[in-house]
Amino acid sequence: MKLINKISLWFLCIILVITPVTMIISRAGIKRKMIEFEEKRLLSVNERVYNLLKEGQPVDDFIRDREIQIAAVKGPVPRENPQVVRRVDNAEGMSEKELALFVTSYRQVNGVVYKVTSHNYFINPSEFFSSMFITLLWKMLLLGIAVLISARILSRILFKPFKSTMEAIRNFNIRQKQKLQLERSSTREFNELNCFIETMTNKAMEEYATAREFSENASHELQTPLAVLRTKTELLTQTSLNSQQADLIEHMQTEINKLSNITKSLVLLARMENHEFNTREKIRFCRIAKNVIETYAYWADLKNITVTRNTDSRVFIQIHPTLADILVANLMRNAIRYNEENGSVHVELTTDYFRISNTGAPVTIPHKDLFRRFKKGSQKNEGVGLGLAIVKQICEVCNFRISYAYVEGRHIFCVYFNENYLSEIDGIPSNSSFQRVVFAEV
Amino acid sequence: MKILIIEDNIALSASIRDYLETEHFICECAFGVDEAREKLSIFTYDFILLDIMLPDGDGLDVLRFIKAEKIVSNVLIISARDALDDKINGLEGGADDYITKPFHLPELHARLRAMYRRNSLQGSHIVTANEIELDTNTIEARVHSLLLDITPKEFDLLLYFIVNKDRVLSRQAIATHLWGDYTDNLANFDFIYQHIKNLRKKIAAANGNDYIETVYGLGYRFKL
Repeated sequence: MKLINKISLWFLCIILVITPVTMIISRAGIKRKMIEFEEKRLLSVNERVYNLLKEGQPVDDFIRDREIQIAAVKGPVPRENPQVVRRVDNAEGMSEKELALFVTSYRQVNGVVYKVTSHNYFINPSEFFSSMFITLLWKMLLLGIAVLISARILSRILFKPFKSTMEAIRNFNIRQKQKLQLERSSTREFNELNCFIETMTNKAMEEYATAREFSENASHELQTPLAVLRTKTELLTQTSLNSQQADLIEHMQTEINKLSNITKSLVLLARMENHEFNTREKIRFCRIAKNVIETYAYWADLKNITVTRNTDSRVFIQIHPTLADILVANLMRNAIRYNEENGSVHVELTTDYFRISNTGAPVTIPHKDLFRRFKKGSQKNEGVGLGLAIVKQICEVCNFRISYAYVEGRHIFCVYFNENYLSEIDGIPSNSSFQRVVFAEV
Repeated sequence: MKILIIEDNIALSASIRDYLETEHFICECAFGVDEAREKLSIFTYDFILLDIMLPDGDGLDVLRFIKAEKIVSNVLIISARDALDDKINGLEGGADDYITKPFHLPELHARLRAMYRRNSLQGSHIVTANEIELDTNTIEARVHSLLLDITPKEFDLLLYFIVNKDRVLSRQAIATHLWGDYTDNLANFDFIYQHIKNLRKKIAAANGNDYIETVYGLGYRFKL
């Protein structure tokens, strides 16, 4: 629910509650004032009658137009003096009620106790309640409309800086070198928010720069000792060695090689997580794929593996060229490495997917673990175990999905470039004996 | 040929120096930006090896200094950083080539020689080893003046051998030289054997001597 709608609703609720309450209060006030005033008037009338009686003047003239009864009573002046009686009666010949007010004063004049009663009728205050109620409805309706309309207009004006801030945040990219600059507004809260966001993004950018620097430095710090090790063993190989020593050096060199590959791969993964390879450009994926496949054809040849290719031309995909190269290379390398003598590799490329399938023995680990770091299909193989983790990461960075299936003695890896992947997956013959994994988290 | 090695790691610097001195380079070492600037303003060098990350500054500053002072040397950048922008910065800043750590010493040497051939006077594009003659411009190999039918990769391999003659070249070094990053994560380098076998066959067919010898456990050597 929009904030402005919430606020409007609150206002409407407040109006709905407050206006009837004020109406009741004002009705009670009017009623009280009316009766009080009338009582006072009747009392003063009684007082005038009493004054006339005291002065021995005739009262007939005075009471002629007024509703006053004068009577002499026996006995003392009652304790309750004056007496006020209210009575609600039907008005004569009408269905509405009227209020009758009787004020009786007792006064002793020349030893005689007179009872002076004056009365008056007026509209029962309950009667004008209905007209007040109609006013109330009008009031609430007008207020409601006013609130709703003004809220819409005001929100557009008041929330303008907020909306521009949101837009700025949406377009903010931590890899951009320039800092986030937000407009200043006349609203203090928004300024505070903007200040807060600016500080936060600046801090995030600093942290990002530090993290990036760290990953770069870490690789530097590891690669330099590795370079020392490698060059020293190379210098050692130039000296005269016996076969035992040569063996030892060869093992060292293999391990140095592995270490170097691991650090390179980890740095690549870190850099992808830092979104350093984000791109909006579309490249000719088909060309890169073709080049990489041709490069690997030589290795395939050595194992007597036939590589067949069915690649569409003019396949433009939004991906960083370096990543495209690594993606195809890692899958291709896998297809050759986990293949058998005289096996085959088939590569398919359309605008929707890139699929690579190869012959080979089934993997021994659960399929979902294939894409995890340092998990290998078979331990005897000397790969590092990061190739598919990198492939998966590339797919995440580029919004691709990757699936793996083992069907009829073939490993099938498929990278889907868009949402059409679901129908494609259904195209794979279903068979309860094989597992199928799709990584579609985006 | 005179070379300035700007690298802050003493052990690595010593390795490079050892290797290049036996290849008849005259080596001098600088371990920081200031020292490098000082040496560059006094002496002239044919080659400069430049590490990007130095303790007292950025190697790219040295590169800028070299260009500003109009020093005519071949600059080869060595860096552990293979970040793309570094590569671009280095090459746009006027470096001739770029090599990432951990590199193979024969690779470094081959790059230096290649830079030299590119930037030197006429005739330097011909590399010879007894009866074998390579033309790096046309990518043609001749044995006893007879043109060999070899692939570009085989040409590269032969050139790599001749440039690093009498050196033991490991299979990894050969693989990295020929295929670069594609050999990353490739545990098995047995395919190099096949490659060398083909090359030997072709040279032998042209009545060339077999100079390539297998060094047990280590790799291969081009022995003249």
